[in-house]
Amino acid sequence: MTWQRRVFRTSFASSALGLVIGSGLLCLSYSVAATQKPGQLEFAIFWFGELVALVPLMLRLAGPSAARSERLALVTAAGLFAFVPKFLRDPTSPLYHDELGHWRQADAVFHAGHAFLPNALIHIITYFPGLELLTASLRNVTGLSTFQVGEMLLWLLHVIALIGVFVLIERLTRSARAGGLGALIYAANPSFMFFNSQFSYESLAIVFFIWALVCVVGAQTAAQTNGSRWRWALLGLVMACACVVTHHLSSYALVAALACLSLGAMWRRRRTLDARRRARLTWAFTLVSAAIAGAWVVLVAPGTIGYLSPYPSHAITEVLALLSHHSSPRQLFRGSSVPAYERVAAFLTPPLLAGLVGLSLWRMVRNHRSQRASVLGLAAFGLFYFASLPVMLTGESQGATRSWAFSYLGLSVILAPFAVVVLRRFDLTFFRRIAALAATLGVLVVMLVGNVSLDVNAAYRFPGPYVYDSDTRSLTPELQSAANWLREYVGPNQNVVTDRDTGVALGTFGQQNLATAWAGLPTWQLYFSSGLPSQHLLSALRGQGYRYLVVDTEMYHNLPEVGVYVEPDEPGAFARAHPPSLSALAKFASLPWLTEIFSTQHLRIYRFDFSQVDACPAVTNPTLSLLPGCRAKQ
Amino acid sequence: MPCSNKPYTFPPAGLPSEAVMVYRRPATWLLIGAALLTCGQFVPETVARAVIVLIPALLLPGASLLLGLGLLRGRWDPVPTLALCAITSFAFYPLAGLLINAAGIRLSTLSVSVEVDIFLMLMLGLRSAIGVRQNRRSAPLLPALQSDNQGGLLWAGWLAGVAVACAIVLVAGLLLLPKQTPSPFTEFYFTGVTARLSGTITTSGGGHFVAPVAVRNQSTKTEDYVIKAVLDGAIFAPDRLISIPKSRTWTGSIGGFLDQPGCLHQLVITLLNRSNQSEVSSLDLWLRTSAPGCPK
Repeated sequence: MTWQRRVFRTSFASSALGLVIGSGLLCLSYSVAATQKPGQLEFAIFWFGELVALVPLMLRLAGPSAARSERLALVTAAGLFAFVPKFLRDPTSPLYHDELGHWRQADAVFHAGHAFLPNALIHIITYFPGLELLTASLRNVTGLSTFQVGEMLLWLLHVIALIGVFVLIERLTRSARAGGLGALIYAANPSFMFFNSQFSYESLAIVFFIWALVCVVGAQTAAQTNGSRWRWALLGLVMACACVVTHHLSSYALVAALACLSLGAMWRRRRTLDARRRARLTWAFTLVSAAIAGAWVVLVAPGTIGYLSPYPSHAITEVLALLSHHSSPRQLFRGSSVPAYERVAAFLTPPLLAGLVGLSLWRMVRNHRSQRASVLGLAAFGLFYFASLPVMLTGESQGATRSWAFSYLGLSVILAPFAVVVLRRFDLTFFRRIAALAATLGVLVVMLVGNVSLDVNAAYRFPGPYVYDSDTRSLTPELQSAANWLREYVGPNQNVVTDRDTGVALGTFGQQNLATAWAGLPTWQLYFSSGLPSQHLLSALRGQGYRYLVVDTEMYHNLPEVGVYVEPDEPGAFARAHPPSLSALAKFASLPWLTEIFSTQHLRIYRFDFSQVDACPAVTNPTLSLLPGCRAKQ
Repeated sequence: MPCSNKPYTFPPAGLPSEAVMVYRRPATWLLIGAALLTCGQFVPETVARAVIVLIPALLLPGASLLLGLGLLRGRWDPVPTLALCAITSFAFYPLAGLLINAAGIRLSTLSVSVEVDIFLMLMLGLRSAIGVRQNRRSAPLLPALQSDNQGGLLWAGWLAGVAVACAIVLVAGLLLLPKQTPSPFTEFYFTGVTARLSGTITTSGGGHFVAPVAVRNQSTKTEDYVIKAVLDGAIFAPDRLISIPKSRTWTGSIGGFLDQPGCLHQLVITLLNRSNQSEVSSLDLWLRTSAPGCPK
């Protein structure tokens, strides 16, 4: 038996065993997290499981001897395995904040039979119905539930995304080895394991984004003679259209990536007639995609600009304030319970990437004549990663990590061919090869560990004890049951005032219309004040037909995990040192315009009757300040 | 070197695009898929329906488009082409959904099946038209590479085996490993019209008032409770002792006489744990009397 065959057999068995054992270890880590006190053990088992599963895959994909079909199989397996943590986090129902909003929206679209329905939790998804239309269509034909269709879609999308990255990089570099490594690098982006594993519009749109770029690169690399070029372009246009109607940010990222590709193609247009044709085709595709995205915003989703614009403007303002020393940087991992090695990996990842990308770009510049225009364009797009790094030190850090799901595609295009070139130099002898593989493995593992810890907190990653306002661990059976009660006994689509945390369940499981707090409707007064809310608020609530108030008493014992009780403009948001006073909770029992119709240990549902605001009860407690009617009588 | 100066096109030079015709008659397969998708709708909503319909639903629209564009001819690369078919299908459903939405047609089982069938027919027509106009065969977008002959089926089998083994491990892990025990809780609420009213309850002064209530024990054992009712600080009804098995609901009512002076009274119904008399939860009800002198 030759050594190559031995390696093949070992890889065949070790990759399979690793994935199976890794799945078991992930199950164990989630069981430990759910049943033991929060600590480091669940993290250790989690990463041990990840490494047991992924290291054989990484080694094989980085190695020289695997056939293309083996690499594709391993990339597919990596895509399947990457969804396992999110699947184990909530195997029976949706859990994350955004996916609850989309889940309700998909359900509503399925039942109503048409799109553009209002959504109580995330208003903007009304105008981007791609995911909901896809889910409702599949639900109609398969008879599965929304949750089942969603899980199946997400599992497939993970696989299709990595195959897309593989195909893209393979076409650009003509190397299946680079394709496999590129897919692994992309899978290490912060959003891939958790954020883009949730049932939300970005999880679908980002795969359209990847495949639209595959199609454009396909059009650029296709032969002029057999008509493949316009076919690729047509397919790409279908992807771009689907991306536009599914998610705002992904469609703008697509336009940005296409613009980079076009600039790259333009730079190379003088070489040959065919290069000029390719440049024209790329520009035409970019302009058409931009026009479609723009038309959608103008004609269908005009609220998108108002929805998105605060994020970049806040980020730029805060970065400028940091640069001019007018504010101090945000402390990363403040109050976080993630292990020290995850934090170290998170801090190591950007300089590590900077070094590797720097070396890779240096090599690209040296050999710039041999580089494809598409490589240069996508490499330029990948450099947005470094531009977003300062934003990590501001309050808009989530925007930075979310952009990495896109820019990592460019980083993959930069790093994967470079890794192959470096690895080939070390392929000659066994020990040098082992050393090079170990180094590659080390980089990939640091990126994966660091990025995952940056993307989501412990409450999102693992089950565990109750954490107020954590979205995930605060979504208790008690809260879901209360939401179901309100829907069943009082009916859906009631106008309800509630806090942010409780609203997630009431808007989805309860199917209620939730008040959006803002300066004109400062519903936080109801929760924070020990006295009567302002006449302005009472009039607004009465005028807008609000009928129910839901109070979570945990609010008066805990600080919110995400920093706000109701919404970011509330007094003391992100800076509270103490929960609201208990007297603010006690006042509800004295207000004759609130009837408590449902209660559990932690939740209360009140019915408003604003006609009783000025009423004076027969017996008054020493709370006359809350009873303007009694004060008037006195 | 992964990158070179040579002009690079697909299919790669020297590789016959139709070396082996392994994937024959795609149109026939798509028609079979369409038949399964359409006929599968008549199967009741069970696992069987999902099994019959799922794969055609995931691949058919995308494969139809590739077929229409003449891209399923020759020997195509199976994994990337299947992925492309699937993602194109995922793009088809929202775009077709928007079209039928704009046409005022309701998204339903029938409309979705029909849209897929019509699209397939259109693409078959387009394929015929392109086939007539072009006197040559177009190459697949993602052509198979020669190296795929080595172990392609073996790795497909490997992948399927690993996926099944992992699924078994995951299901076993979810079923057998210890899970989080949800915190027990008790729901206490008004039932009937009292829960659904739009305002404060109005009752005649001096009369008998009954409040229908319910208690749901969401714990893992039988719980004993005491219900106390107090009107304006005075006892309204005698204490009520109830025992509720786990996951069961008790419904009953709390009644008493409303004979206190005044126009607006507060009825507080408290649910206590019988063993330690600690308060579990409570309900507050404001009662407006329609006695003379009280505001209407």
